[in-house]
Amino acid sequence: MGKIKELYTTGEAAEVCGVSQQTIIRCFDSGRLEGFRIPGSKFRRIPRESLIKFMRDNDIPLDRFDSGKKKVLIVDDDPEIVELMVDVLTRDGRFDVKTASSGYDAGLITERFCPDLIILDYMLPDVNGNVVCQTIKGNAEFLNTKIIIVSGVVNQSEIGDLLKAGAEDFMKKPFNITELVDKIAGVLQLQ
Amino acid sequence: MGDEGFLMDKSAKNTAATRQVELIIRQLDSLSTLPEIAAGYLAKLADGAIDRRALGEIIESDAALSARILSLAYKERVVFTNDKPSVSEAVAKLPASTIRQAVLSSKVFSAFEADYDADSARTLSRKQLALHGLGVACCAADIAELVLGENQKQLAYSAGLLHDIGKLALDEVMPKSFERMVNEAKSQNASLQHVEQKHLGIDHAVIGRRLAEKWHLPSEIALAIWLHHSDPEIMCENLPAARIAGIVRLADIITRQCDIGMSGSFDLPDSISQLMESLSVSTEQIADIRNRLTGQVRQRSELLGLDAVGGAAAYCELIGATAAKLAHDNTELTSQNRQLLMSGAHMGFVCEFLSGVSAQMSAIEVAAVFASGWQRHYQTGPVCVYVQSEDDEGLLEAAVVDSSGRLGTQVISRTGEGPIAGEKSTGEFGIFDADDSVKWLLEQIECEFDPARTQIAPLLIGSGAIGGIIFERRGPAEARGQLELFGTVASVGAQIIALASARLRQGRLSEQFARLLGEQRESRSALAAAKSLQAVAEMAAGAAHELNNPLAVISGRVQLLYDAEGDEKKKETLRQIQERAEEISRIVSDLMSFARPEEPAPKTVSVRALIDEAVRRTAKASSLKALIAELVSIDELGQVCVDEEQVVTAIANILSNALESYPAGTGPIRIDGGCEQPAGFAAFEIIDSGCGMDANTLAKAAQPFFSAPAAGRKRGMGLAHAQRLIQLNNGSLHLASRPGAGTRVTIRLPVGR
Repeated sequence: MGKIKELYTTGEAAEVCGVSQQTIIRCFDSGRLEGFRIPGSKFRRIPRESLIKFMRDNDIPLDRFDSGKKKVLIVDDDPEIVELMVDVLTRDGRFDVKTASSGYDAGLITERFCPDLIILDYMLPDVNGNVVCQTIKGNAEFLNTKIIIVSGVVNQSEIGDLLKAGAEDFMKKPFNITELVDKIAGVLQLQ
Repeated sequence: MGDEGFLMDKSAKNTAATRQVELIIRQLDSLSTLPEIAAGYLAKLADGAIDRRALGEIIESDAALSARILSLAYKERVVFTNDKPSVSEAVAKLPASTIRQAVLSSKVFSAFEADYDADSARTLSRKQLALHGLGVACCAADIAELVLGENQKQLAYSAGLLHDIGKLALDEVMPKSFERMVNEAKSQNASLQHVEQKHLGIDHAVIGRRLAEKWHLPSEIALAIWLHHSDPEIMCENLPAARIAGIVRLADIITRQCDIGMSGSFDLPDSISQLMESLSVSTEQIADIRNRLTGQVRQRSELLGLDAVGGAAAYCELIGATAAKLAHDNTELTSQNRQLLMSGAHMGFVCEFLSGVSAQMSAIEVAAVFASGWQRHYQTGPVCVYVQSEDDEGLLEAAVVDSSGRLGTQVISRTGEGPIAGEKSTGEFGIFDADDSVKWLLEQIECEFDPARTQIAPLLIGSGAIGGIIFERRGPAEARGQLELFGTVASVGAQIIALASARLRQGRLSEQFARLLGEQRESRSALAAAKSLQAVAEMAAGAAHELNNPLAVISGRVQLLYDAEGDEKKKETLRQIQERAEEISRIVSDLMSFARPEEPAPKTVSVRALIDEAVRRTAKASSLKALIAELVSIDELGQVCVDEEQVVTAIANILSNALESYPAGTGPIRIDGGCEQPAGFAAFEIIDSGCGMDANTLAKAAQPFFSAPAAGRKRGMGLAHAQRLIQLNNGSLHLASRPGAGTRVTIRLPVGR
């Protein structure tokens, strides 16, 4: 099991509460949701205890609350691949999984979900995996988001480029399930 | 024949004598005629125009003259009716000047010897010998008319007349010895032939034959001269062509029996019955001939003036009388001769030029031969023959012979305007003074020409000049006729030079054509290969994407099922499905990396390290604990400069192929660096003694996905991929194999610096 998360961004709080980020920000600014701003910046941070208090005060179910599981976003245009990976990761039990079928979806969901890891198909229908990689890694909000590229194409120089663009690892399709889980655990430094 | 056999028995002394006689005879150009005869024909010649018939009669009555004329007829290529040579026809057909020349220049026998006397005490006088010859000639003609028909009469006559030219020759070159031999024959009643053989080791029959051959007398005559003493049976039965010889022999005997002239033989004449029988002549016919013979000979000898009293004196008188006429004739002849000599010089030049050039020569080489010949034959001092260059219109190629005959070749730029051989040359041959229009040309020639005497003539093909000849005039201007001859010579030169150019041009064209064809073929096949590889690569990339997703689902789902499955048998099935899915994926990957391989990243690495790694990988891949690979002379190969990963993959592919060629898949394999090492490469061979490949399999072994089922290989990519990877690394891979004899793969890798 991963370490329990102590601080939440407004996006993460919105995700846990199932409301919009704007609602969270409004509550934060009106003082209904206690928190602080990171010194020297405008970034808001909400401690775990104040978020739980806020949810109980407003009758928001706690079931979506961070369970300590690692958040993994699976991005692939092939629904069966997605389904397979969801099955594998769910069965493992250590992961909180969300999915996307295009680069655009992936961007939206990443904003809200703030995944610890994105499993990214290199050959997406709309955006090249490379661009997705660069965009996410270029955003300071997602500094800690790891990326594993999955692809059927195995050109070593392309893989090299992907790793340069910020991907942590590469996985070839078809894959061995055990190997995939091991790789994910490795990248997320799970025991 | 008998003569030859006789010669072989000769003693050494006689052999030397024989050789000497032969040598002397060989130098004999012609025989001498008798002064009496010369007096006769000189008188006729002095009368003015040659009466061919009269002259012909004299000639055909004299052996020396007949031999001369027949010899000339051969030289002048006179064609005889029915191929039967005769003196009269030769006289009729030869040019008057030739006959006149021949007759006038005939040697006259001992004419200037002080002690010469036609009726001297000599046992065998030339007059008697001449009469004998005439007798045999007339007699032979008569017999031939009976036996062989009218058209052979003349030939038989000539053969009879000439049958003793061997004796005439001996008398000519060794008169004293010849007289002694005649005397010996007389005192011993022997045949002269036998005496000759005894002393000389050779006889007049053989000598006569040699002369006949040397002078190119008709072959029937030569045969008759040779065989007129031989056994008639041999002659007639074994040598049908020698029937004339049999006739001459019969005529010889009859003439002797009739006491006409003297032959120099004093033995008893042979019986003629056998000869008559073999020639199918009757006794009556012979008697008839015999009766006519004396009269015929007398007529002939009168014609020849043989009976003229004081023949020698008459001859000397005539000499004086003819002298004036001769002097006049000579002037005429000399001018004709000069003309002929000049034509001869042109002809000689052309002949020499044509024999000096060969089909392999280039235009400039031919021009050089032409220039040298021109100088030698026309004595023109320095000569330059130049021709338009084949390669560049602005260039001329020139062959220059300087005044000491040294030959050089050079290239001249065509800087001047106008025709290539000067502005005076207008498409017709001419020899012109070199004027300003060829100044540019003269300035560039690496040889000094005297400007005042320099002449230029075009080398024409049709009316177009392909070049020219430059030379110095060393004599008076040429007459009109001479100019034509020069023109002919120049056009021969031009034609041959043009031929050489054309040959060169054709050669180059065909070379270019061949090269173009080759290039086209190469580029076509390279293009086809590249295109097909490109297509394969695109297809593989598409396939990789399309296939890998379903494969990933299959493989992934199967793994999940496998993990959840308790039944071992079902688990095994699921494992198989997963493995096969992975295999499909691997094939697609291989195909893709074959079609679109990565750029090699070369670095220096030892061949040993490459092989060790490849052996390790192969052993691992084929689940062998240790691969049985014998390494020979590998450490000596040193370092190569290649992409390590690619080359290791290639070698491993070859190794697994080698393993698969064994039924058990376990080797052994030998890796040998002791083979030939081409410069710049390290070479080694991977040798197995497995099942090998036949020629068809071998030819396709390096094609992707070609797999020979008999060889038991699993996939067809191994060798193809190996070859491609090695080629990418600037190396080469060569396969040699025979069914049952194993396979030898030779790999060459570029050495590291």
